[in-house]
Amino acid sequence: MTVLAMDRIGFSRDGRPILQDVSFAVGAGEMVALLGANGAGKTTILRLLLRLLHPGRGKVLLDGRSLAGMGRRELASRVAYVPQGHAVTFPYKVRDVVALGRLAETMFSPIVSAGDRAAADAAMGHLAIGHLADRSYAALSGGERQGVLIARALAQGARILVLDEPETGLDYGQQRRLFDLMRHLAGEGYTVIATTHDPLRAARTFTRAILLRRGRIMEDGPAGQVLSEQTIATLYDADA
Amino acid sequence: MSLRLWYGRLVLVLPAILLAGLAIMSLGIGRYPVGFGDIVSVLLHNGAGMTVERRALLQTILVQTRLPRIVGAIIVGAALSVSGAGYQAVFRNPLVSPGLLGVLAGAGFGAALGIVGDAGATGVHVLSFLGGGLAVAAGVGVARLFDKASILMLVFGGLVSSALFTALLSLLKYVADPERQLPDIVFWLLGSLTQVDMPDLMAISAPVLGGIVLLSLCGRMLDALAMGDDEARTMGVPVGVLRYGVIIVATVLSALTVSVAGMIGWIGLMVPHVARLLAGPRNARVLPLSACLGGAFLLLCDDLARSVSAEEIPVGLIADVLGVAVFVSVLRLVRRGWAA
Repeated sequence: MTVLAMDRIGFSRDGRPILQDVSFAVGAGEMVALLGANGAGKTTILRLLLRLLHPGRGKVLLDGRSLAGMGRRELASRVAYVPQGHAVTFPYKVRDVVALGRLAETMFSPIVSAGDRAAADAAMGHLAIGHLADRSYAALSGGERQGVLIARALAQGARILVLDEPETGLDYGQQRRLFDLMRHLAGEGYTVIATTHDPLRAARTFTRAILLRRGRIMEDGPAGQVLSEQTIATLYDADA
Repeated sequence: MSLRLWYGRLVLVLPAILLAGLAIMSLGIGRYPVGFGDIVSVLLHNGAGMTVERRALLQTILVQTRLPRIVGAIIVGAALSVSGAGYQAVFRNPLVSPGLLGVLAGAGFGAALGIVGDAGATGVHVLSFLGGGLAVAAGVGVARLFDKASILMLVFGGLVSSALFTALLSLLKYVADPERQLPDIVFWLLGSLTQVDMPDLMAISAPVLGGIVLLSLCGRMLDALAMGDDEARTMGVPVGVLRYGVIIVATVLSALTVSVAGMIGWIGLMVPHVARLLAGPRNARVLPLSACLGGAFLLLCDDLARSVSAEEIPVGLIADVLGVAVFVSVLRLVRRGWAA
């Protein structure tokens, strides 16, 4: 069953086309990798799916409804964004960061309610990072931060997770654990959509790969089949 | 768990109690010292048991002279501190002060305009408030000329606006009557609570309290904003409305203080750091705690201003010097949490 779809999306910036005629539909529980060279349009697709950008042409559909008319908080309760594990200026505790996922429900409440706290603890427990709860987010390693941001997405209650190059800055073991976790979540019915720069790991881990080249979809299919040596070479202009 | 919960409550309640105690103590301080018993007697029992002359004297000193000043110090200190904490949150930068977008320069210019134009006390207050708002509007306007007002462009707009209004202020100083008006401008710029009276307090206390409550209610959304604009948006936060809303409220808060008390700058930068040190970075706590600590700090400074020497020292000077001392001494602790 399709949960999130792009329908003939076109997007340009300063008159330069970034995406042209991009269409795909993602079903519940699918685990989709977006691959392509830098500048191919991967991040633009993520930002359109999160409504951080508005398409110039075409529509983004969530359960068949256009994202354009959807309320901010409703969207937040359905689709969660997991950015790269970044630095934050102020020394928030991990529990505070995770509890922010509940914000869409309790926008003007100045206190973190017992329900928020329980949801945050449940999300951290689910990812087995409960021991980090009282640490300062700023003091964590990249891998730990990535885990915290995924926990926040779970606390948000969204069933669709959108991740931006989640492996960036992680060592081999951290990357492996992260991809295992993503697969595990997909197994639980979460829909996972991630950009990645690692075609070999994507071929092994993801159920589906969408390959972008110069703003158009080059290939779209089961990750193991689509990501052949030949397509990877074409994708990254690495023929020679 | 229970210990942390208790600390979480005490850290908000204790400063409020301290502030109230400091306020009562401050009533006794001045050229005519008044004992605690007399203060309680006059405030609570209308001076029962005193001679008529003494009761009248104490009522004049305590209620008409000192009380407005004490309330004024608390309100001005609280407003500047909350304003600074709000600015720091929306700009994701702990080194930002309420003056960032030009409100202080603009308010200074407005006040000088009032003094040079012989607008009277009320006129100076109003022009100063309007000048502060105008300067921030100009700064934001410049930022929006270039793009959708990113943080960097807002800082740039504030720099440009501050420079412009500082230059205009200099121009007014140059043309001001050096015998009569120039000393007024200079003294006003030093910052002082001597001119604060009951009508001033009536005019500013409601908007200041309202602003403090409003910003505190936005605390969790400001926490989300600390993660970055995009993340906050995907968590359902109306980022543009929140940023401009906080800028407007924080600007009104600081412009109001400048209009009655002149330039008292440092507090807005320094107090939120102390609040974060005590209560952690969550804005729903940092904002009300900043109000409390800022009020207490400026009250303490004003007590010093009117008691250290026979000739009163402008409280702005004391607040700056003490503020720097406090800031430097807490910086080592505060910096621990800053990223890299």
